[in-house]
Amino acid sequence: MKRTSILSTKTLLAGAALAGILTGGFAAQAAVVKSKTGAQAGILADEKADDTHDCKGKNSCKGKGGCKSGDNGCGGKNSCKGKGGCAVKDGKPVHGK
Amino acid sequence: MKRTAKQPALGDIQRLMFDCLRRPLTKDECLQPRTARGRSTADLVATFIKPNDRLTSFERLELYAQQYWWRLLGSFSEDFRGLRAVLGEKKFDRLALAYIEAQPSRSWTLRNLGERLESFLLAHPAFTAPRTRLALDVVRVEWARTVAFDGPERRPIHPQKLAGADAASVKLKLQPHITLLELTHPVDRLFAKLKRTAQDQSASSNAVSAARASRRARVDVRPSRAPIHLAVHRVNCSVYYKRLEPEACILLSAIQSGATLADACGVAFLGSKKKTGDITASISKWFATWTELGWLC
Repeated sequence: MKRTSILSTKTLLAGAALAGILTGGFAAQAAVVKSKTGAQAGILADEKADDTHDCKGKNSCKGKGGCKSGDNGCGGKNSCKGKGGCAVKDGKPVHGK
Repeated sequence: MKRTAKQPALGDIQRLMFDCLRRPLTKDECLQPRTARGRSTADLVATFIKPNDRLTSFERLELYAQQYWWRLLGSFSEDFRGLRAVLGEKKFDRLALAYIEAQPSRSWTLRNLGERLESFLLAHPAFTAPRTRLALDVVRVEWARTVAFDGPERRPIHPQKLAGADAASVKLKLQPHITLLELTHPVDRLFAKLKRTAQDQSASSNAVSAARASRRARVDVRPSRAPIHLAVHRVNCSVYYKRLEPEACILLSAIQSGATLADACGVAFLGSKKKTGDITASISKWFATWTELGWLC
């Protein structure tokens, strides 16, 4: 008897979940998500996934001569050719030798 | 070209080179003069790197060693700005060196550099004492932010396809970029405070002094009286921190572990004294929001 009651309660709760999913689906279709996102999604962290500057895991900087170093230096420009490396610190090339 | 008997194999050269590179730089940010086994680095490097008309073998390798460490430290510092603010610059730098020495990058992407930081801190609490609990909370959120930033995204569920489904047996999944956390400190508010401070500083002073001030600033936050349940997730290409009610967090965790919808709802409210009507209203509201945010798949 008790088991039947628990089962029916869980089914009732799952039914509420499905009703919520349908409601959320209609809201999404009505294109209100964008305007609601701010409040619903929580506190915005500071990163933007489509930011072209940050290429973590995306290879988006391939061929541009620098990934994650804020490189404005010699990456890909051959200015350090023959010196055995292209050292960049704080976004600037370091050729002190 | 055939390798002669005297020439070391490429794999051996690579190992030698990496052993030299991965030793932390000296205080002057130069290559260590001695290897881990006490041998002269210059002598060792001369066996596998030729000098040129401008640089010795040692100096040539030094450029790579500096690039290796500056790049990794820069990346680590960028990914754990919150931890840096909590520990202060000196302590953070000590931790960063020790961590990267113990857990060097093993992936093609620096995105994964910090994935073992939480376990490292658990094993070495001295690096974060006396703020170890706060540091751990911050690291969990910062790693979750990395996961949310570029973790994969599956196609969200099609709500209408579930319209006639058997509520008791439906199984759903959560988007892989979502991390559910139970925290002892309000790290989301700490980060919002840090962001505001950085914005204020950059608005009120020039860029150089603002950057210095931000490096100097050390922040603190009191522990929360009750555990904080937080979802770190991505919507429309932006990362968010969303607070959850405890039952909502249990429910989502159960879904993430593969429970049916009915079992997940059941476990979330096990032993609850709330009225059934209130519980169904909460569940319905939560699922509507999660569907709108595209969390379910």
